Amino acid sequence: MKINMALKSQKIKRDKLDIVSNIVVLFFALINIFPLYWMFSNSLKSSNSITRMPPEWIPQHPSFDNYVQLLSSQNVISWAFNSVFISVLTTVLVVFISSLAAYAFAKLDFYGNKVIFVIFISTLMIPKDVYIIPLFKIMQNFNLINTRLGVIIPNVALPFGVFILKQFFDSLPNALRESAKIDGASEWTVYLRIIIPMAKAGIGALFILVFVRMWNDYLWQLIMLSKDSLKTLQLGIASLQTENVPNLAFKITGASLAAIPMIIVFLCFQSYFTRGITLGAVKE
Amino acid sequence: MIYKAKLKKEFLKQKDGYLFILPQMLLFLVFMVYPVFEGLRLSFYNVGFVTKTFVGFRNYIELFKDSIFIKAVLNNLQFVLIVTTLSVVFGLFISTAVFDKTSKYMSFIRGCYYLPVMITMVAFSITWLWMVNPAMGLVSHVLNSIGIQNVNIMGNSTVALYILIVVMWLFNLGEAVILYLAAIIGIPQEQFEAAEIDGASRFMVIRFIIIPLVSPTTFYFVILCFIDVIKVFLAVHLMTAGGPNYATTTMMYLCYQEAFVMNNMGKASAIGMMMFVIVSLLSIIAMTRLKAKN
Amino acid sequence: MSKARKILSLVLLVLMVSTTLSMYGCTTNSTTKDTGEKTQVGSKDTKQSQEPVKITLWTAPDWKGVYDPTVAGANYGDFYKFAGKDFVKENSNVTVNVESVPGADRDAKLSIAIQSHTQPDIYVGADFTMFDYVHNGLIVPLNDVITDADKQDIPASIWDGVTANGNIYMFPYYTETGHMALNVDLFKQAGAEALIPKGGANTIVRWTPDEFKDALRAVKKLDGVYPFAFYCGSTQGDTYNILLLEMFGAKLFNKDGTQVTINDANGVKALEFIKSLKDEGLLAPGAESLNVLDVYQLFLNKKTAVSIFNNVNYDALNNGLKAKSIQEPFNIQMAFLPSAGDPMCYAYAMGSVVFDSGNELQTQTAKQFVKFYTNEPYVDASMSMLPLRKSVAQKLLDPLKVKIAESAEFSVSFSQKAPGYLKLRASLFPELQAFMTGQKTAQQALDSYAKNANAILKDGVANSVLLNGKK
Repeated sequence: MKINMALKSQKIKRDKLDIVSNIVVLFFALINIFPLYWMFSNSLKSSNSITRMPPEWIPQHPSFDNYVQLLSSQNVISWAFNSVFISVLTTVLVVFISSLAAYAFAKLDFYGNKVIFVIFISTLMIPKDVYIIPLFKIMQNFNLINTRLGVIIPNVALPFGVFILKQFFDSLPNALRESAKIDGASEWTVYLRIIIPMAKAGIGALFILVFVRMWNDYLWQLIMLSKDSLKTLQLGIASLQTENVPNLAFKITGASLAAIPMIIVFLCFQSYFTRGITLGAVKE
Repeated sequence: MIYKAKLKKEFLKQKDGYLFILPQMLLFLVFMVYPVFEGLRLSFYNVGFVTKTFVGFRNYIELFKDSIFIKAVLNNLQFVLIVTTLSVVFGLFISTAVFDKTSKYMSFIRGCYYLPVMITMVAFSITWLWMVNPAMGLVSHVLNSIGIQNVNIMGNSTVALYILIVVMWLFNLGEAVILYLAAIIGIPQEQFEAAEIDGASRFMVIRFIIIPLVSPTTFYFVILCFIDVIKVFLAVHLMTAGGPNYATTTMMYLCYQEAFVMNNMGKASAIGMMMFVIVSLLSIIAMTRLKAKN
Repeated sequence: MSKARKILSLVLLVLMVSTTLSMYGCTTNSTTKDTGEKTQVGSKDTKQSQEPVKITLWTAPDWKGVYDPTVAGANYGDFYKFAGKDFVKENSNVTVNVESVPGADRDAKLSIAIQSHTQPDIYVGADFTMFDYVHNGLIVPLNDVITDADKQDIPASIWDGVTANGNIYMFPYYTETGHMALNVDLFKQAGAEALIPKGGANTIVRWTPDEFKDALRAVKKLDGVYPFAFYCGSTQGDTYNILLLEMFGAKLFNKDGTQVTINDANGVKALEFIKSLKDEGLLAPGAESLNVLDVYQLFLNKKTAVSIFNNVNYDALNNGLKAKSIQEPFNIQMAFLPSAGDPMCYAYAMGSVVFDSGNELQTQTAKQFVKFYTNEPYVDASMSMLPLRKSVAQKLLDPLKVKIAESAEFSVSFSQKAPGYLKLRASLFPELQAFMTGQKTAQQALDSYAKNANAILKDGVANSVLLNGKK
């Protein structure tokens, strides 16, 4: 890819427009990450210095006291566990169930294939939040309120994964599948032994895409989980905002604590993220 | 008899397809299709803690008479239109500016714009809220130092709404940048070479080669962005509680308030159904327009 | 061929839908069966003690630790966990589960829980927030666990506040009492000590709105300090807003609590008074965006010279000074809310209500647990807030806390029994925001609130299970 880049950079003209736009882009990039810097640097300040005007752009006496206070007074570990558990399990289920359906839509011949797919996909733009009230009532009938499963299932029902994987499977060649069929392999075997290994990259990337969305799925968690023991990181951090503590840095420290692991994950896996997000845009 | 046999044969041949889509379809029917109908039913009732009475269209009539609801609908439309448009425009602008630079630089830019998503909306909103706090925040300090004393930017109805929109926009921009960057890098070399021979300026290349070629990405991003923005709730919930004086209320926030603060599931369902109709209409428009463009 | 296919797909579709529906049906059936069994179990009195009972208690995050909040690792709800352990020792079939629910989340969480039939058995909170649930017939009377001795030990006015139709719905435990406080050090710094109303450190002084304004003016010159902070960013802390509106004698409700009357001339005068503070630069900017917690934090971080201040803040201040998270010196002078007439403060009774779980045994156990921790020796925990029992109040050592507890006689009672109070709250702060941002005049804002509020009250009365008897 690097070589490709170098080639391209020779092919397209550098002019004033290019320089000006890059300055603007850089400027906005810095503005965009400034809140993150501000969040993090404030979490290292004492309550007294946090409101000092003019502000301490760089913490004068950085300390991790706020983190110690937060970790010792709140169940942050349990919040993080719940968030990870819910996000990972949802993602695994979405990938599994939608890959089954996407495989059928892409490769199998059955009556209504196209029609069912179109009906299914036409609901793509409808977020579940729109029917969140009746959904809540239904979860209540299933006795799934205040369970992790209740948070997970409605997200697995969404057509998003099918939409993305169908496109990916469409692009896979049929030759291997057909020769396996001739050898008498069942569709299940074909799916498991041929299609899934071939689609590993796509599935891995979809994994990240869904994971990030589940990690951010606040409203549904807010409604479904009221038990302290089930609270997710997002709910926990938000509930810190309603704590009456004299320490001003406390709340911003919560935000920072939730953000740091994800930032590290992102920095380590940036290429996977890029692939995950761009997956759906790979067009036939 | 022959018919039956035929049917059986046909079924056996096709059953795999149905079996593979069955789990997804079941979940889809139970947790997506059925709730919509249940929502429609609930919207005709006045639902309290213990009581439930049929009221016909009263919930809808009340909503249409309610200036707060109208305000929320308009706010929602502004959110969707502005955030989506700005994200597309800036996403294109940023990615066309950096796509032919070193990969380190690209990674840096990508990171800068995508990090808000990673830190989650909760932390992002809290940080912004902290910055715009009228009595302790950085923004009011900066305003003070340039001579604008004691002004609360979140106290102005219009400004408060646009601040929320900007927060949502910054949150969604990262995805646009990543998508467009990948799409532009994927454009075959020959396209650029041809332009080079013609002596096209950078602007011309962007305008006549890049933008048309990434239109599938635009289509995909608009869908993603739309789904994320139409349900805007969290930023409102954490940053303004819908205020000042309902200026930043959105449909989702009203729905939540009706359902879980006012305890009126019926009216909340009616709001949900209204959202459903609006989302469906917008998605039909978006789909047909973008399909036509492709 | 194509006909066969059509039929096949139709059959499949029907199959899918029916599976879905039957799945759904099964589950609903089984849930009703469950509850049916539970009620049966409850009625078998003889087996009562053996049946396992699980009770859940939700509490507002009012104090940390069991009796001492400064113990390392102390957290909200610790006391109820502690009492729960002792209770379980005597009743081995019981498990007690404690959750702490912040005030800002309370209404939504309870609402969600009630609608999904997962409400707690016990909720510990303020009287005025609970009456909506009483009106809906969700809360059981506690008459049978309250003795005459209890009635003697707690002031009659408190009992009045939690009684409706002759039934006592809350077992009062402690109070939260709210006043104002002045930062004496900041006043000294401004050379304005003379404007602090005379009284002395361990007293609560009175002042009129004009004296209040004069004091604010005197500290205006301090750099980086706002004289006072008003707020209307959310429903939280609206009690103070109401008290400030009543500063010139307006009343939120009429005598029998059926009409909102705050939009009279005195209410308008009070609101305009607040605006005049803003116009003179005596308020922290952005009242419409600030919430009560911001305002507490401003004061505890020495950013405001005068502030609303309740006993929770008083404890936070003392603990902060002890833990050195708040820097000395921090001397305060407590004051009532400014009033042209009688001195004003608020004091709400905080106590336990028991939700009707539909299971007799569970509800009875919950009641017994309430009785258990609301009596000696556990009731001493109420000293972490302000005790309601005279027998416990005598044990208070801090002279200022004693004064705060005594000042309850000046507490303004705004009809906490009004049906629909939760909705009523939600419609006040937007009007205040409209006023503070200049979109409405004082009269318009209060009229609009009163109109809304009266409609809600009317609706609430019409739908109240408590008032109409039907269920």
